[in-house]
Amino acid sequence: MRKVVLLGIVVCFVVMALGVAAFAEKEIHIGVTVPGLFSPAFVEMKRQGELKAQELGVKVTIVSAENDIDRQFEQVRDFIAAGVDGIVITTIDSYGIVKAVEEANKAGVPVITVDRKSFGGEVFYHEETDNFNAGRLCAVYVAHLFKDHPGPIEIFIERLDPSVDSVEDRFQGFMFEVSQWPNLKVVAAPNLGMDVGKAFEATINAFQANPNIKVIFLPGEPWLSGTVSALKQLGKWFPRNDPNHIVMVGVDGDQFAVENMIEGYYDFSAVQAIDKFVANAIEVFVQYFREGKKPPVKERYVPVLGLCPENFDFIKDRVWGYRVYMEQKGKQ
Amino acid sequence: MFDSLALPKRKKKWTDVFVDYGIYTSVVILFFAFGLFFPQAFFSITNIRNILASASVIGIMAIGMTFVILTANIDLSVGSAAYFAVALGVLAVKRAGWHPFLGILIIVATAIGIGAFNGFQVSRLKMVPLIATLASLGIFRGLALQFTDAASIYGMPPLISRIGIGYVGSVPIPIIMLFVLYILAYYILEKTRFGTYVYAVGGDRDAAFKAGIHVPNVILFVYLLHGFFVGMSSLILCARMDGVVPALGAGMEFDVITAVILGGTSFSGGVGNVWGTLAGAVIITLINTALTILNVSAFYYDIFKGSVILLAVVLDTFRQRRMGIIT
Amino acid sequence: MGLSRIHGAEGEAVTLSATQLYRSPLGYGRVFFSEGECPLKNIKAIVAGQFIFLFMVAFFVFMAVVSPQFRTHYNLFNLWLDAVITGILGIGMTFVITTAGIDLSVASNLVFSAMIGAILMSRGQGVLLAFLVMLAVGLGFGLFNGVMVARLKMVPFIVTLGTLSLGRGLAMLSTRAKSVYGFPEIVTRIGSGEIGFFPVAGLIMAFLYVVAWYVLNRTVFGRSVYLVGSNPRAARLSGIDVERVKSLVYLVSGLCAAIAAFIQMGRLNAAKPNMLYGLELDVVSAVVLGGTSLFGGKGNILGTLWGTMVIVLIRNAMVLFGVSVYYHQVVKGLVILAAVLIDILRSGVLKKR
Repeated sequence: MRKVVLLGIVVCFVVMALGVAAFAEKEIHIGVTVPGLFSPAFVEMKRQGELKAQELGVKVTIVSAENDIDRQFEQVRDFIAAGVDGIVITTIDSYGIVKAVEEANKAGVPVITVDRKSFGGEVFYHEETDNFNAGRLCAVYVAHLFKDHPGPIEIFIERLDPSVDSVEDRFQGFMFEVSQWPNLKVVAAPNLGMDVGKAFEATINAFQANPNIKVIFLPGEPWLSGTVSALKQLGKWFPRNDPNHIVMVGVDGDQFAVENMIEGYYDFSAVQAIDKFVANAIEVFVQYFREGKKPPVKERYVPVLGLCPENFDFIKDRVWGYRVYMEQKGKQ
Repeated sequence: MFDSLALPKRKKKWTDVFVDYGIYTSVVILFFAFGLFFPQAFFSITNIRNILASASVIGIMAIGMTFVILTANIDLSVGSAAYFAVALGVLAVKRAGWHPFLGILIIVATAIGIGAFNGFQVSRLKMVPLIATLASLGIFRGLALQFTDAASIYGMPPLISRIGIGYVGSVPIPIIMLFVLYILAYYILEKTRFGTYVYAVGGDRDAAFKAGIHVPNVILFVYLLHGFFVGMSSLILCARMDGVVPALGAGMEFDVITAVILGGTSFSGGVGNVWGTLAGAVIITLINTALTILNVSAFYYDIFKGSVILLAVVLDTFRQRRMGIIT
Repeated sequence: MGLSRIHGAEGEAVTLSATQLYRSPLGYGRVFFSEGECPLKNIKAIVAGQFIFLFMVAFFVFMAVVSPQFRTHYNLFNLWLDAVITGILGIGMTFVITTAGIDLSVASNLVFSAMIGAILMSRGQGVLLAFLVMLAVGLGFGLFNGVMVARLKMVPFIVTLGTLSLGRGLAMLSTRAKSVYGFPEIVTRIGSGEIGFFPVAGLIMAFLYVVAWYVLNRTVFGRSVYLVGSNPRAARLSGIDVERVKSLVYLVSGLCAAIAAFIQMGRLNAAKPNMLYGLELDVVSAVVLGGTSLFGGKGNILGTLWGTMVIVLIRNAMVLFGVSVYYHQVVKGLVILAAVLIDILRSGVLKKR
């Protein structure tokens, strides 16, 4: 009986194998690893990457490392073993990824890093944006809004787990700027762990302790919706022209933030154009593999865009969240 | 379990109340301990109301889990089940444009369906529940991610969002759901024959079988019931998030199981009740609330949570030891 | 062991036979309790009589046939290396689960030890000193778990859940969530270096498995672990200090976590407090796939090794086949279900009530 079962398993596998092998082709294969899919920014980055790969006729495998540097390391090694032609890394930790980059160098596979640098190894090309300054920009806007107020203006910040470097950098940037303004005071900065869903409870609790919060800073807009629901439940959801309006600033520039800004509730978003990072990386690789052209610059720095109601119409076309928002509106 | 018969009688001390009702005492103690640091914010009706409302998600999910653990089983897939159910519901309402009421039905039905999936494996295929539900955890999260393409979809119609943030009078709807469902669970567990079957199957499976109870059916039905409660709490989750996000429910299973165990339900089955679970859920919520209100630095969260969990279990262990449940 | 009949308090006879033929849902060969069994005759039974071993071999062969990239030294080398962390943790977990306990804090223990070691090394302390401190930390952590479970009689699931949070929190606090990078060369040589064709860490894992197999199956301590898990009352009545055994297995688990931590540091040449999140579930999966029963008394060390390999193979296969990232978890879950299901069918448990 055991032998029959075993034979059956082997046969199944062989059939599956033949099926898989039938579809194998020889084309440019690029491996991409992103930190996680909890953020619409990363999801959009993935989507744009897949579209670009389709457009250029190359194969791309995009995997998510779930914020675990060890898993990202494994993924890079898996790509090397799978024989990809190029690897794109959005690294979780600039130090932790060094070994992975070095291994790719040893294997002769070119590496492009986007969004965060790698502090070691040879990188073919690098595109990044600045999280620290994105946070700072938000604080600058808040300071500007309240520059005539004696204060203290109470601020509530929804931090993610401190180990998520990108979010943590934005938080540090914000705090750095806030420390320069005596009338701004951070009264609550809870740790939402890794769970975006805790935003609702955190907002309610923060207002329970500090009913006079005037500003909410979201170092990442994925947890905006929970915050909004909580504000609605608390009855503190006022539009911009209302004197009770609670100023909301954040980083990312995703479609929900854009929507709220259009409707008059959201005040400022530090937009990071990371949506095209992977797509650009794929294009750079393809140009190199097919035409031998190296990128004109080794590093490209994408500045943060400050989006607010005052300049909304002026720069909305450069905001990826706006593009996604319009696409989704068109679908409905 | 027979050792309790051999336990010598001891005089009742006044501290017995605290040990016997260890978990409820813990809730009160914790509440006052936290409140000392920030009285105005803590000792207010709104705060108590907020705590109960926040506890509703974990609390309702923990009802079903109590049933499951009472039968000496477990379910690690609740978080993924919640995500899958909410994802399907949101897709139906936002992408396919279905009526929100259908969305609600889909969420609950999907959760029950996942309960059936797990229950079938455990009861009919005789799989170890830890592994079967561990596999489900991965399967359903992955499937939902695939269906939604990891998108965050927002914008729920009022019928659904009211569930999360609406009020009846001055009582938030989630609290009403919480109490109604707990009373329902209490009734099922203590006042129906099925409830006694649940305890019997958990206490001694073979004896239950020999007494004529159809054990596999009981287990299957327990998982289905559990799915219903998961669906109910998923509704609240969906309403609060105003849609679906890829990380929805991640890690929720541990909070839910902790709530049940803190409440005095034993893993080996047959011991426990729903009110203890409610207390456990409140403790977990209390910790989270206190951490925010007291503005504890983000670095200390995990240490804090771990310590409080351990403290609560120590207290409850003393209670169980004295009652002879363990020696 | 000299046990034949023992009477329990309620008059029920508790018999321990000289050899126990274990037929768990993931059936495997014999584990023998007393003298008189020829060791060599049972090696075949021990190794090949396990379904998970056959499953692993079948999977391996399948991959080797189908995928040319799988067959490369690079890939196989890394495959082995990937299995090391989960594998070593699996050793400790097997001991713990065999006593009907569980240790969900192994990953946190590992990360905490790693952070301590990393901090020491970055301050210029010697590798040996750092390693010894890491061992102390891991053992201390395990001791804490052991005391809670064995002496205070707390439920292992919740206790280790609490220490899981505690460990992560401490790790996070130790460096304020920052990563530590750059360790002395010996660390990277051990963590990711090679000897000939084989990874150093892989050989260490193999060695540890041999030692663990010996301890679990050929020493008095190992046998008492089995007995404590399957029948604690009989164990106590035959003179085994049940509490001590139960706490010692957590020490073993802590020790394994510390060793694995050291290797992990060499893997990436860096240590970050939030790494390896969720690893404990993989370890438990590996142990259960390998045939160890969660109810205790049926530990299978080699099975854990095969279970680890299967989990690592699944991931490798999905990457080599370019399976969509979302399906990774789905496939892993389905394969685990399939393996367990096939074995349930095989063992005929379904035929009886």
